Amino acid sequence: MGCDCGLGYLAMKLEHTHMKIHEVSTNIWEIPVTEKEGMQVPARIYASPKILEEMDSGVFEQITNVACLSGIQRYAICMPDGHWGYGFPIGGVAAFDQHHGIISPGGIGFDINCGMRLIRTNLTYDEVQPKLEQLMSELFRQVPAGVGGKGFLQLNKSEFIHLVSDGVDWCIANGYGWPQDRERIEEGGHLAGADPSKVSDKAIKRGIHQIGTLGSGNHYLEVQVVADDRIFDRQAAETFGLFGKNQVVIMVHSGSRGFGHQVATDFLCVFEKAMRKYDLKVKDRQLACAPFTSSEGQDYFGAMLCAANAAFANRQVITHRIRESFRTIFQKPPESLGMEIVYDVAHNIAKVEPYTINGKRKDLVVHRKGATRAFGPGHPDVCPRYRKTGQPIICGGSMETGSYLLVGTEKAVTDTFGSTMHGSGRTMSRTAAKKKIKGADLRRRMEKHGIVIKSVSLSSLAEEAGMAYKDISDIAETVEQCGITKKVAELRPIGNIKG
Amino acid sequence: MRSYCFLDNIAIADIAFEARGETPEELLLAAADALIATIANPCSVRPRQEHVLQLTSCDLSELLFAWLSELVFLKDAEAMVFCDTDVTVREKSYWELSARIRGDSVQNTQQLGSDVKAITKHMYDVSHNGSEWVAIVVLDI
Repeated sequence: MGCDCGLGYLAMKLEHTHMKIHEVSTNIWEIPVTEKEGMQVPARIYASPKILEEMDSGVFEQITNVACLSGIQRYAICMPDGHWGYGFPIGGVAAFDQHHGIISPGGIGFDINCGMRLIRTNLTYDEVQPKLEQLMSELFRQVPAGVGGKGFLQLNKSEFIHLVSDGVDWCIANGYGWPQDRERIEEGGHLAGADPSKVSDKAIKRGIHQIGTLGSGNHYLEVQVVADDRIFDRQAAETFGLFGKNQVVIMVHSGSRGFGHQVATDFLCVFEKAMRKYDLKVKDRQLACAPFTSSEGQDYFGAMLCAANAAFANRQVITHRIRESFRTIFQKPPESLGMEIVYDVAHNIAKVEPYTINGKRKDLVVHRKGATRAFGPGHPDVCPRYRKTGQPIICGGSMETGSYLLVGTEKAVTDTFGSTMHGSGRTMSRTAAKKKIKGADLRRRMEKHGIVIKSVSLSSLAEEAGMAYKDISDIAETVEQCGITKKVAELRPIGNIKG
Repeated sequence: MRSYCFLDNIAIADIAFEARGETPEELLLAAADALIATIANPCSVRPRQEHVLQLTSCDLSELLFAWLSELVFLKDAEAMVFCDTDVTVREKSYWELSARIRGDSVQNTQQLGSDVKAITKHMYDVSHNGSEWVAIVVLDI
């Protein structure tokens, strides 16, 4: 690492990239437009020097590729949990002019509206621990995980189309949620503008039996504990329903399942053709895109919103099954157990949001891929219950370490298109992780630490070992130092279900 | 002869592989082997179901992409894991694939792996090096 204070900023020479990168303010690093042909705006990486140094080379290539996309505004941004993905890096944020910019499935991901949900309870660790094994077995039975998992909902095509049109509203109307759940979900769990006529039959066939299932990869259902000494902002925690004292909460990480994956696959092919039609060039084929206002762009947006609604509905049906599992094990109604949703956030999505660019209010198409919306206190899109405090942000760490609840800030809105981190970010590939640890050994190690594991696949378990991830506390600390979020509480795992 | 290997240091959030074959058919079979093994250990899957598939494409690269994407589709639509495939490829003014896909519905006796979400175009490449066909594929996990 080198330093060139004569230029008025810190500059780092990173071994794994040839690009010049300099620190514009504490923990905010910029790659200028001169570093890659075609860059329309600089790339900005939010990271401590240590995190930056440890970032893989793919991040630098991918975020500067994003900076080349047509209509991009201000900066292509990467969060400290950034790592090498496809198209955008995971942790990537970019906003495009609604009239002159593009939309790209590579900036959203195949798992449209992959996201996080946190559910509180009135129970404490001491009350749950004697029944933890039983509880995890029941949850494992109620929430199918892994390859081939089929949900308990048997929907016909017409019902599925209603579900993808209405998201959580469909679930509540059909008895899979409480009316008050709606306001504790980003966009109320129902994005307007979803257009099922733009969705293929293949997408419906892939997803129709999967509502209420977790999937695999880094998806999980985790039972966690909030310790008193891990609450950083007691007032915000209380607003979000957390009281500490080893309170038990449940975190869900899942998305739109095969339905969303097929929507993205279908439009990747459409957009490759559209790029020729609109004479668009990209540095990575996975960044295939179309003008947002083009027929292809609008068709994808309408289909993508269906997938986003399907993901909200998926996490809602999973919530219903979690509540029923707690009813069975604790012999009490979930209402009396205080099983309210804390919040639900999307971290793979594109949305039209207003921002001020060069003093002018503009509607931008904000892409967040492995990044979370982080609106601060007073923002009109934060539900009335949380508006004074700011929007809750749920960040999942590795299943061995822990997770965080954060809150958005006004600075996030002004600096990062209202966005922040989504998790801890990988440091090691899945293939490399499996060579370092066996799933059975990892399970034994976690059980030794009091974490009950239920997993469909031991090899998938090994891919998710703690050593394959960055330290989430470092990531949360970094975004707090940058002022784009504040820490509310750290959540420690006691039980985990994995696909 | 066909072969594949997983690549350690590419797209660390996902799974990347390189597939090789002396003929286009061998390349498509090798890539399918890698995908199938990512989803479940094929030795643990019995051939209780068979699906027949026909695809056409303007070039071999797109044919491989469509072939692998069909396997991912079947995995979800039929809740199926695979043990093996047969492939016949014909090159006319376009490329044509006929395939038989054998496998079973998901059972708890199988050694399951990752629920592959999609075939990506990131670093996607099909080339011929003079003696064999080589493909690089990144799977979204």
